[in-house]
Amino acid sequence: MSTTEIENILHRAPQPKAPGNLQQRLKAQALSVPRVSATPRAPRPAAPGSWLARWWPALAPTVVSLACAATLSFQQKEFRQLRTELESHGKAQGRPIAIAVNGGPSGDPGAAPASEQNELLRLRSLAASLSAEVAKLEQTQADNARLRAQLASRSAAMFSPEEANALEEARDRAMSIQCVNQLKQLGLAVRIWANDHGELSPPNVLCLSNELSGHFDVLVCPADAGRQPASDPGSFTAANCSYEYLAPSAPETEPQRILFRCPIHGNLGLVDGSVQRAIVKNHPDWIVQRDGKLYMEAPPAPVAEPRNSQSSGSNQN
Amino acid sequence: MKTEADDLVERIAKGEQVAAVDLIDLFYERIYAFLRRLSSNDADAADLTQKTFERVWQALPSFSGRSSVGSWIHSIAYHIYVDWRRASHPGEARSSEWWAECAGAGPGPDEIAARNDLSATTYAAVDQLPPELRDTVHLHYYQELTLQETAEAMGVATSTVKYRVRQALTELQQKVAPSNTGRISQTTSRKI
Repeated sequence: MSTTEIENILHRAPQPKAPGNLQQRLKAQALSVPRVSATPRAPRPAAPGSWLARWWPALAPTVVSLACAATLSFQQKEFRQLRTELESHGKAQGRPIAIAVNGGPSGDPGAAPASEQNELLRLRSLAASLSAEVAKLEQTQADNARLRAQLASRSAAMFSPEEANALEEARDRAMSIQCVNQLKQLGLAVRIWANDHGELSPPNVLCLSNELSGHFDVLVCPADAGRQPASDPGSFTAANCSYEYLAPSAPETEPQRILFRCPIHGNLGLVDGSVQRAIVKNHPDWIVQRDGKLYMEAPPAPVAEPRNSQSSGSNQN
Repeated sequence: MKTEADDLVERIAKGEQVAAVDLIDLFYERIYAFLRRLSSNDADAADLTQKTFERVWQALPSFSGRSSVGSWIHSIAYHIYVDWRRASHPGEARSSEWWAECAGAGPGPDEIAARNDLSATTYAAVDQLPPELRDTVHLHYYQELTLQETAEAMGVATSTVKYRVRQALTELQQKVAPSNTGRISQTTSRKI
């Protein structure tokens, strides 16, 4: 049985007949009830604030928007007023500045305050004194250049060629001696470092920064004009050292091992701290290489002539 | 669109007692039939109808017109019936014999005998539905209220009425199946 058939049956449901007196009773009841003949319904009085309760969702955003608009317009008005005041102040202060820049009395001098006038005078006097000093400095530089040229021409004319050669040799010897001294300082620094690090020489020259006390100029041979000493350990590079460091981490048990070598003068600094002068130039055969290490081994000196070795040009320092 | 009932209510509000009589003429038979089917007693149905119209006269000033007059009066009648059932008749079963008597007052015994054996079974099955389904069937099918009017009369949502109608039809379909027809009639007869 389908639901449509059930619905049709339900729609055809019989209507029970009302009792005959029911209608009369209802009508009598209706006529007896005083409310039926009452006056027409008065419109329900609106509760106080009912319109507000109904419209507040719409009114609240409107009121907020109006308040925002009023605030913005007020702020805009204040901005315009402040801008106008700033412009007027700028105009009032811009006049004496223009006078000072132009340097002429085109404006009204009386309008500027007295303090500004005094400052202007002070600056003018300062500029005049600086200009005078610059002129004096330029004149001094010109005098120095002139004197330097005179000195060069005079020294060239003063010495003969022999004297000039002797002077040059003396200068070279002085530089070599200075190089020996520097190598001895380096050897001493290496010894100090080794005392603190298990009798081993440092792995590189930069480790000697503490022992050298920042005197990196001893790493540059005085005859090496192409190198400059490093100013601090952070800026030290291989270009700041003239000497070849040949015995990194070398033990102190090899005193004849070559520690430093000057490629210009041929001086050798040994592990024992001594310095042999001009060995590379005068006795290259004294330098022996074993196991990749360089040693200086001088031939045994003859017993009868102990001083000949010193006169041959190699001096132990 | 203003109906005849709306016009009568307006006239009653203006104090025309004739309109009240006309409103009674318009609705009292439907309300009585509705309450009679639910209450299964002529005297109770008459009393409930009288109470319904008494409540109508009392509540008429507060009628706002949001629903139709018919659904509003049915709503009053429905709530009066619910109150009456809760007060004195919590569990009540109606017999299929009464439905046969009601049907017997209609077209004629032969015609009823020919087509309404199933109808009487169906009506009896309706009375065995759960109260909310049964009342929905009464209002929607017997009283021929629309789904919306039924919802207004019962004070529930229209979707709830749709669900209850569908549920009631499903249960009726199961109960009024040909194999169950005789058993339902016997069961209801035994209860009486």
